[in-house]
Amino acid sequence: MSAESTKRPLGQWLVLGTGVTLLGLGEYLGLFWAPPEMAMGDVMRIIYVHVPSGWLALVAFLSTAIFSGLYLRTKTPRYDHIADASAKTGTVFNAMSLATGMIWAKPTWGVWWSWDPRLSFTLIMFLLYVAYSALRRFVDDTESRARWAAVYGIFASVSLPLVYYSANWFRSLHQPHSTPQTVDASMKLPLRINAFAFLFLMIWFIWRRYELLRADAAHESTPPPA
Amino acid sequence: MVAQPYTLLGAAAEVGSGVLEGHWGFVWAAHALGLATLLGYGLYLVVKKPKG
Repeated sequence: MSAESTKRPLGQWLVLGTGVTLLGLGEYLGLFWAPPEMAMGDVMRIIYVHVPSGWLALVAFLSTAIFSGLYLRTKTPRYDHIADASAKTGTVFNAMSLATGMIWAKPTWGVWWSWDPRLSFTLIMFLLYVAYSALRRFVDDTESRARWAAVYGIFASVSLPLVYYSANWFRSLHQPHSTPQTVDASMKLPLRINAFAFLFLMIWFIWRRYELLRADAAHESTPPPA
Repeated sequence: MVAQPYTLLGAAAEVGSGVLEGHWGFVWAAHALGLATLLGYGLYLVVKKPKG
């Protein structure tokens, strides 16, 4: 780990500590305090882990697109590392969203999976960002890798609005967006707390991953001993 | 909605046997999977060493 990264442990601890504390509170409220939903009963409590993971996957992938654009504009390696760290972290949240969604689908729809627009676009998005990480492994030259990844990172972000709006644009098994007006306050509270918990944890994941990528890049740029 | 009694053992049995009537099994499974993913990824980032 470089000297610069070791200067910031307090910030990382604060972010991680806030995320873990909020997660503990959100999980307690979601599992034990919030009431069961009228139609779905207790199975609706899956929302408190499924929806935040889906939201934060989109936020992480949006970060990839933004920092990819910044890299293409400035050619600053730091932006490439943040874009990469965001893509890898978003892929983890995306996988979590897909898996918890399948667990929710079985008792409510009767099937683990349906080729419904929202589910299909979410799976395509997941595969697009797995391909992003694969692309980076296939290119050896650092600058070419960063440039190709940035272009691809912006291209892959086309999937974000398709995923976000698909349940509203298409006829879908998946319910349309809930809004603060359509969700009871007792359910909004744990959902919001867990969303912020996931946000803090996502920031910590990206931060840690960024440090590792920056250290890897420093090693790559060091000439081998004569 | 009548509250359904549940236990961890019952939740595991529901998931394991595929009994769909008891929904708490799915709730526990989804939350356990989510938390395990967050914990696992966090630990991976802590123990992972940079190249070289």
